[in-house]
Amino acid sequence: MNPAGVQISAECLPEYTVERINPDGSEVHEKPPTASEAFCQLVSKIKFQQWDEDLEEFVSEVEPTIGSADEQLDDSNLSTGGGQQQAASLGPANAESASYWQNIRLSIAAALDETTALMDLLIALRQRPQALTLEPMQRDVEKYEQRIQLVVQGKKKCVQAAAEVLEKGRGSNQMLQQEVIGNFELQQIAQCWKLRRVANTISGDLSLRSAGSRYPDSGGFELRTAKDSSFEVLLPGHLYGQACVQVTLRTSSGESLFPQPAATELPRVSLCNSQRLLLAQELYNTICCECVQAGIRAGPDAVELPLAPGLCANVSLYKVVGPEIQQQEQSAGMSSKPSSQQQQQQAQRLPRPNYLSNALECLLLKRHQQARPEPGPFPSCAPAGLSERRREAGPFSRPVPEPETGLLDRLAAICRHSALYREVANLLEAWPLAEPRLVWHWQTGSSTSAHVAVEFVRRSYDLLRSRALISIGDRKAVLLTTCGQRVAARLGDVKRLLQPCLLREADRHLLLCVHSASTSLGWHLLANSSDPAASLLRSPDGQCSLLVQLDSNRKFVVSVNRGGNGDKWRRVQLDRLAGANALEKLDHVLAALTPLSNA
Amino acid sequence: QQQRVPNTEVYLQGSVLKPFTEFLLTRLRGICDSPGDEFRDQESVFTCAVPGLSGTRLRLRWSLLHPHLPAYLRYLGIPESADHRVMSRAAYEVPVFSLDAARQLVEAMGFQHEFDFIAEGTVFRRGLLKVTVYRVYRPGAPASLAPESSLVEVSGLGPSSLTAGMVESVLSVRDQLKSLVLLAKHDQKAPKA
Repeated sequence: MNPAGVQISAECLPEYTVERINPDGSEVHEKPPTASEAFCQLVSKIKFQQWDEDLEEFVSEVEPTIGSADEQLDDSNLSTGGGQQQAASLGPANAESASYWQNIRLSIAAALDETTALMDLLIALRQRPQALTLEPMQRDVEKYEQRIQLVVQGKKKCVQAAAEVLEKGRGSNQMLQQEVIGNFELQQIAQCWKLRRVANTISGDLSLRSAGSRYPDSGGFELRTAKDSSFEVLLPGHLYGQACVQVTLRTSSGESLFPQPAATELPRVSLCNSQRLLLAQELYNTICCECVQAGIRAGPDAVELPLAPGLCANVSLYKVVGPEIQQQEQSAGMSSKPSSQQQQQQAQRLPRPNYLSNALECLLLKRHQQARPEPGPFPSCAPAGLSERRREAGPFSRPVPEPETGLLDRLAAICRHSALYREVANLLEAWPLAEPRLVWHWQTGSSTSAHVAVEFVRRSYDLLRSRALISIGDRKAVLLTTCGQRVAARLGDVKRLLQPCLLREADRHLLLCVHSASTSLGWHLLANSSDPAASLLRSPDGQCSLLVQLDSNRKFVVSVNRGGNGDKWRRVQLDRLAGANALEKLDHVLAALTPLSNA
Repeated sequence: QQQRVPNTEVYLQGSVLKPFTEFLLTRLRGICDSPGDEFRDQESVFTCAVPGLSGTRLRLRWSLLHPHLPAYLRYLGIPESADHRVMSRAAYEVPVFSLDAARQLVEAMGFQHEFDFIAEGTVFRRGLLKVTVYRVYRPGAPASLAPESSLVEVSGLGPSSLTAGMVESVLSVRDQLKSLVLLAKHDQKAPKA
């Protein structure tokens, strides 16, 4: 069909009027009257009653001439001596000759009648023209109405034919539009999924083989045309659903190391979720295979990995497959009150994946990427596949791949690092001292390494800060101080080993603040000790000595010795001095003991 | 002394209009092994100036996006019609790691530089086959020689023992792309001016 235009044929009115239409659709046309019939009809309309007397005179004059013509004809027949016999001798000598001559006689008589009528008309016109009136031939009313109806029916028939053509075109246009809509949907699906035409069906591929996956499940689905020319997807039973792999860290007492997210996902059926289901199956199967190789017991839904004494990682596969998903979707919108059935169904909801689950998924995708064929070829004229010999030789050969570590080892490393990270964060957040304050800045390098820079800050206007660095790996956390001290702690020993070191650094910072304040007033530092934390200061004039100590409770103990006598040390009661904290009070003490000449 | 056996290249060519290029790329992503890699190559064509071998051409092609990868010096034989369904020709290819040295060598052999062109497009792989959708530019020209269409080429390069299989693969790809692009044999003779 040419979309540019549609040919519509219209019939013109027939040349002849339609007398009737048969049931089979054929038309019977009314034949037009012949000349003689029309003349007879005209003659029948002539009124001869007004001038009968003149007509009789005319007829009396004309009749003898006609009678003489007939006698001549009869005489000619008699003179020939039996004209009929002679006529019969001319024609066939049987009964058919009578009908033959009869036909001739009838046609001649008809012609004679017409001629006579014409002569009468001419006489009437010559004698009494005003007595002759010709009326128009009146049509039969009933026949006229019937003809009108037939004309209307004929027009209806023409328009009906054109309407059928238009209707057919509209239907084909609708089909074409639906086909275009269906093709557009197919194009949209083809943009996201690999589709392939197999015989009369369209099959798709949900697997990640093009991304490098080697999972044996084909992940195929079919596209079928629905009644409204759209496409519906047919998924296999084991891919009809949604699944996810959740990794959680638990201590030996069953306590979760990380808080679980409260919101959960309601499972839905879609191609993306089916692909995620396939990926989750592949991931869990890979973990189970490696567990079996490592001698760890693996269940159908969960695997427990020991990481450290008192700490284990739980890898669980949450899967919702089948028509229960539709029931859950329906029941979720039915009522707001949770019924027992809904509570049971809520147990089947999928948890939101946490950081460890995402990290595990990224590990698998990275493994797929490593297994993916090399891009190219570059330039495009190069052979599509190089031989192994070519790959391994030459300056541009492919580097030898590193020995691949399993997913289980990497997952364990990530989990240990996460646990260490959590322990260090708890240590810093639970800092027991108000002075000095602790300020830290995190820097995450990768999923198995992170750093945190710690600063000791005094609640004062000075900018004196002491720094320390904690590096967190997958096995241990290492604390580095500015004085070069290095302390390493494994999982479970972070608080026990790193906190005392941090407290010592805090003491050192406090003494550093005292040194800074005393130096600014001209005092001299005689001795300094880190453990126990103590400093011995001498006044600028040498007449006074000050001993600053930190006891076990991290409180300042200040003793003064005047006159240079090393035996008489008097304790300074800092509680009675004004000041927001011990350092400010110590500043007052230093200021009070400093001679005026040096202030 | 072993003689180097030339590879046979089996190919079909066609073209696709600009509005339908994206449809073709989507279809190719579905039927090929690789999702498609962008490429931009420059090719220099050298013609032999030695009398008697004036029709011989050597082609030096390198990647502009990956200059560290080796270039290829190619000789393409006369297209043959051994199989009436596809075109085939002998192809010699040698990877070269220095463009300047390759040019000097070719010119020393008696070849003269004839012309350059740049091919830019997407290449897909399906086993040993390559499907390329690309446009041709003159070096320095912003517009393609055919702005409203792209060239489509399905080719397979391999030893003669694999020719039969490659022919079937090429025909299979041709059938799958039939609704979008018509891949057929084309006369390789240059049009008369």
